[in-house]
Amino acid sequence: MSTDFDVVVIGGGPAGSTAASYLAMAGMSVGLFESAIFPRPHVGESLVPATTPVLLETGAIDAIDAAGFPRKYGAAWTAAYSLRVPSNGFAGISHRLRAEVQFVERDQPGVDRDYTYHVDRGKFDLLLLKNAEGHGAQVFCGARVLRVDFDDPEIVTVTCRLGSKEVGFTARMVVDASGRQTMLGRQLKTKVSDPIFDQYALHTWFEGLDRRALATTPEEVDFIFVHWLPVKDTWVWQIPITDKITSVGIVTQKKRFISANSDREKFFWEFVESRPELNEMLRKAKRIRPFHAEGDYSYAIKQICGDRFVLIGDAARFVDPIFSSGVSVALNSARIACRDVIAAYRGDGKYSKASFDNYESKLRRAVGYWYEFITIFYRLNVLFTAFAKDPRYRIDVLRMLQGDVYDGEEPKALQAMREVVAAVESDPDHVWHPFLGTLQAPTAAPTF
Amino acid sequence: MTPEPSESEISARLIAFIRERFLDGDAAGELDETSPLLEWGVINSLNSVILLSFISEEFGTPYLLENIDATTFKSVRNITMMLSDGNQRSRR
Repeated sequence: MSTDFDVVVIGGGPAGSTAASYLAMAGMSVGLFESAIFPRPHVGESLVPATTPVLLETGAIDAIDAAGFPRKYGAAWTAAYSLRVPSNGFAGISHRLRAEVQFVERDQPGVDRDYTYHVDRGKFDLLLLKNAEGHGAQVFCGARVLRVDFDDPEIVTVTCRLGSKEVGFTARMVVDASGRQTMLGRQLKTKVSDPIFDQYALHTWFEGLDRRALATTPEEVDFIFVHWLPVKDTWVWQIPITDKITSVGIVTQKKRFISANSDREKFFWEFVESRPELNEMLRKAKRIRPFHAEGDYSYAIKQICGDRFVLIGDAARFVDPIFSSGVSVALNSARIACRDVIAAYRGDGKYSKASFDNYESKLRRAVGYWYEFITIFYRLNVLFTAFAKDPRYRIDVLRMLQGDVYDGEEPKALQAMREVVAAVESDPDHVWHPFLGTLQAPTAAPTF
Repeated sequence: MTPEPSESEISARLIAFIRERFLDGDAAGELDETSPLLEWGVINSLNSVILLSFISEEFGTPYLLENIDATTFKSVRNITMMLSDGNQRSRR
């Protein structure tokens, strides 16, 4: 039976356009349906080096290199605490803690450079989508996919809203790259929200922010910065977008925002004021975008593939923005899933669930590492800096930060961190015990 | 390579750091090697990380994070012991 396309890709973000590129390059006919009109703003602006091999393979790298995005050579963390000292009641000594890593410290397979990029996602996503189109994918923008019909065992029918009409397209299989909209997860009722780790992000762009203010060396100026606030499980990102523009976002538990009962702007500044030097840096800059909120993004999907479908990128799983893993998971899940899709296309053409076994096990493993790394990060909090500084773990921590989690053995740092957390949890007298006590970590472990 | 610091040297540097950073100078000179840091509340979960950060900058990291437990920060003597044990281990 003939179909409109071999494969329909739902969503034109980094996952969808990367998948469309791979599949079109393999000679498949691809229809990609994107509900927005690009360019459009999007959160998730800092990349990790694990994106590079994929951008090289799909040929998108030249356009990305030419776009003038700031180069990201590393990451830095800062924290500051005013500690009350019991012996003489003196309070207010400010203690600073910091750590930083540079990608150049560890060679990474398939990565030909010691930097990645911070990107304006409006521009970046458009470049990737154009790349997919250049490879022959048919791209439809302003076309929202409403549902996918799997009743016929040979084909899928994808129903889209185009203007005021609903239109059906047929294909042999569908790739769901609908992002946090989780199109198939919702339709198939396989989406599970994380009930504990309910994170919330409030973000905007500033112009004229002096990125040197909290950097200690000139090299660090264009790093991503994670600034811990002295509020439990709360941190601020600082991501260069252009020479003049910097993206800043607060990530906290949603319940803190709700209980603060204030508007977004008030909430943002109240939290920022807990770090005076951060507050000073931000107050001197000019906010050029409204505050944008992201919530309900901590979830798992119980099934990431099945007969005639695979889920990639955020449509399959998102935990937390802390390690800039979003675009990397999008690109690499597309890469790995497409190998299976292409093998099925060249093989029996059935696209059965078993065709995607390799993808499922690789993604399960990678997401499992991310998940645990993020969990432990929130459990350890600033103690994480001790791991990043320790030469025994540093390179391994860096491997996670590079996003190099799809092949090879489990990162050793995970094991060491796991042991520390377990030791502290089991010993109520441990100096770090109270520290872990109130921290919340994700509970919805990968379930697929 | 710089020679490894002796126990008394480690101890003196730790005391100086704790005095300056956590005790506002300790004008009364109360802190010594055996002062119960945890009992007095001089060391807590947060500033223990600051202390570790100081230790790694001053002495490298002659300790394993996995080995830090309830007794490690009990006194300057205990911290010194952990560090000099670590030094001996890394020499072997």
